[in-house]
Amino acid sequence: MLLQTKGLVKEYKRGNTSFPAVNGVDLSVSSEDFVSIVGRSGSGKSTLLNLIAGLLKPTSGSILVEGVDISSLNDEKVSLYRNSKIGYVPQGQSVLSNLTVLDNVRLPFYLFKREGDATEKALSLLDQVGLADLAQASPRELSGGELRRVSIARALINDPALLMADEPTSDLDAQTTAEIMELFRRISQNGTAILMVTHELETVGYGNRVLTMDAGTLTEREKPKDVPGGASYPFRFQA
Amino acid sequence: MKNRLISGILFLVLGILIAVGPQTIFPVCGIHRGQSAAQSSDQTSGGECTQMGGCKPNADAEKGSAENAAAGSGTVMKCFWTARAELGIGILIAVLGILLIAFRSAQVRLGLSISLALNGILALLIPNVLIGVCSDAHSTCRMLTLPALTILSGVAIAAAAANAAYLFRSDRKRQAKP
Amino acid sequence: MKQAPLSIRRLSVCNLKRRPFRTACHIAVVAVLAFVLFGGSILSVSLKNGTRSIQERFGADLIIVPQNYDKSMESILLKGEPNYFYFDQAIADQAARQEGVSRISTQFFLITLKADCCSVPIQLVGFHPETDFTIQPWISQKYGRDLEDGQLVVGSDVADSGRKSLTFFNRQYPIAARLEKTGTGLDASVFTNMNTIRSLFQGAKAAGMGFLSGTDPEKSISSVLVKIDSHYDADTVAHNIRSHISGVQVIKTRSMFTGISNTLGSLPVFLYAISIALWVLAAAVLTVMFSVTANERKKEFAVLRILGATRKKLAGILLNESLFASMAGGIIGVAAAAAVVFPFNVYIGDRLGLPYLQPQISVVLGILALSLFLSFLVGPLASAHSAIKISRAETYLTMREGE
Repeated sequence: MLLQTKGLVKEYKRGNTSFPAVNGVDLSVSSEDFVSIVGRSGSGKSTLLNLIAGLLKPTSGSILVEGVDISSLNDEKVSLYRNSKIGYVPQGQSVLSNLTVLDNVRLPFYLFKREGDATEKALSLLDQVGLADLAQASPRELSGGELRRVSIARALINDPALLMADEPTSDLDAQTTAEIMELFRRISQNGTAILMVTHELETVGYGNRVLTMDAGTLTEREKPKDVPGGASYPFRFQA
Repeated sequence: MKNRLISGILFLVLGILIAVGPQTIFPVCGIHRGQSAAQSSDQTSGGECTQMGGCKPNADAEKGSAENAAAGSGTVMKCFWTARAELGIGILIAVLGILLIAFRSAQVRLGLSISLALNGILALLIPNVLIGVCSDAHSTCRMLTLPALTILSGVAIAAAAANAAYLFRSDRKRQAKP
Repeated sequence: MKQAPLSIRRLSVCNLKRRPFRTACHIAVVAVLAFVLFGGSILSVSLKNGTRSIQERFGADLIIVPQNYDKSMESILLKGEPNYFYFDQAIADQAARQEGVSRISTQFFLITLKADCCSVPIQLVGFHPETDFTIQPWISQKYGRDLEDGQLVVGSDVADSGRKSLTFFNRQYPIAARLEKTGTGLDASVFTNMNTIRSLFQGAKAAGMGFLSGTDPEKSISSVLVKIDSHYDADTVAHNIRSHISGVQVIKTRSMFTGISNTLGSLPVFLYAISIALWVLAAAVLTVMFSVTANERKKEFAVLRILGATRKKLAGILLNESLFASMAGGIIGVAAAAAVVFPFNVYIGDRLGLPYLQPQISVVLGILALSLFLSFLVGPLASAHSAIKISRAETYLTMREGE
């Protein structure tokens, strides 16, 4: 199993009380999975993603990635884990404007000492996401959809085992959304596990598993039979 | 546009300083009249000398930097000719600076930069080698004019060389683009 | 396609280039600091060197000159302004007999309004090598033997170093030795023995210097240099001389040096105080600047954390940026200061009117190293707090700010 969480809890303090943003989550993801986690805003899905990425420490429970409990690692080791095992596509705009598109994609390769050069790999990834011509462009010259594709290419530069995306299509139009989701589907077919958090129901059909998050609790659902754009969903959120 | 303006203005300023500096801000010594017997007494008269006291020297004689109105032939110091030469070179550098702003073509500006560097070398050689200045360590031209011209021409040479290198590289990049 | 690796160093440089105005301000602040540190230190040390030089070189305790010519004498010694004055040789004999006087020596001054070497008047000093104790010791040190008739010993600033002779009043005199720089008026003087100065005097008279007609170098002198007995103090001996010999002024060299030190004394302190104040100000300005910058760049650093940058690396990026900008500023400032204090050092000394002697190369290098170190340090020190804050920020919360 690539990823396994057991009894994962993350509590936040609000005034004098504490509340669990993630409340006893058990999750297993294998390398063939393309998992969509759906839920309304504030349900705890982004917190779960950040716990798995090692950006937050859990209050209790464990997170095993390829058998290693990442919640007990120090900053150096968890950063290396995040750099090499995980590809993370953050919510919103995250491409650095002081670097070219090519340098943005290459950047994670150089954050740790590695042999070789990332240029060829980066150009190949840009080609796969349809941005080969814009390698030397400044991010200021790109559209929202193009920037999202740069983030995805960047996330793949170190051949991660797991690609995580936090609401990757939330600020995009329908056509661009469809293009991005097709890209994710291709990446999944190439053997990279995907864990995607979204509140857009029309994107869940691209994966093979659907989970819902509600008030910190994760529930596995049946994958909708229809493709997005006309699907009827067998689940609804609590009012 | 930015490169044209910045480099052009820089050389305009340097040129003006090289041209008029030796006449104004860091002036050369000027012209000194020759020391004939008659003139010596003219220059030193006015002091009363006694056995117990001394003689107060004449102020003009001490300074030796103003042009003497007394009749007779004059010895024009080297630094005077240096200032004249630098006037011409400085004006040339200033004009080349203006041309740097006026011309858009990178190749033309590259040529102008090479010309500026060579003019800078000439501006450096005039006071140091080709003509020179007074040999006395405390004369104004040696204390002030010579180091000022050396620094200004050094800056002109360095800036011109850097500008030429920058233009050469950016022109090559432009040509390499499909 | 060949591309340079994207190291932390290159990333820092890219960040600096992205904000040219801010980077330029940082460089400018540090450049001004480095300019004052280096330039001020060289100025201060040169002035101290000059004062020490004149104290070391000048062996006389008292100098007797004609009445009202004490300032002229000081001008010769300190500023190298040529002067001449005379009184009777008999005064020297009278001075030698005063209580507390250990030894004396006399000097004869002449000026030449023009020599073939120089565009400004030259001070000629005739002295007695057999009795002199001010110039002779360092002539012996440099030249190693007695000065012969017709020979000159010149100060470091007289004519080009390649000259072998000087022509005065249509006669050529060979240069026997050139003395080391003292930073005083003695650098602009020419020294000869009494036979040579008499020959020069005749030449000057023949050249029409009519003011000398009443003077006879056999019977006239310009000054009497006095060494006092160790059991007496300068004030007492000076008083003795003044009370027994009329028409003279007695200069106490220690007072002259104290006067120089007093004039000088506050200047180095002032320069150091300015340097310290400027360093503190630069650190404060840069600290505020980095604090604002770090705040603006929170999201950028959060993205770097997400991509796998360690907290140490984040801090390293900011510290690198501040170090590079400080290094650029430090080098520019020091270079600008060097372009002022070294080429113009003679001019500076002349304008200050104080003994001015540039330090040796080893001292200059020491001052350079210290100035650069302090300049390079100010940036990283100012950014340290922001760097720590950035590295400790909660990435998750930073990314969600503004939602």
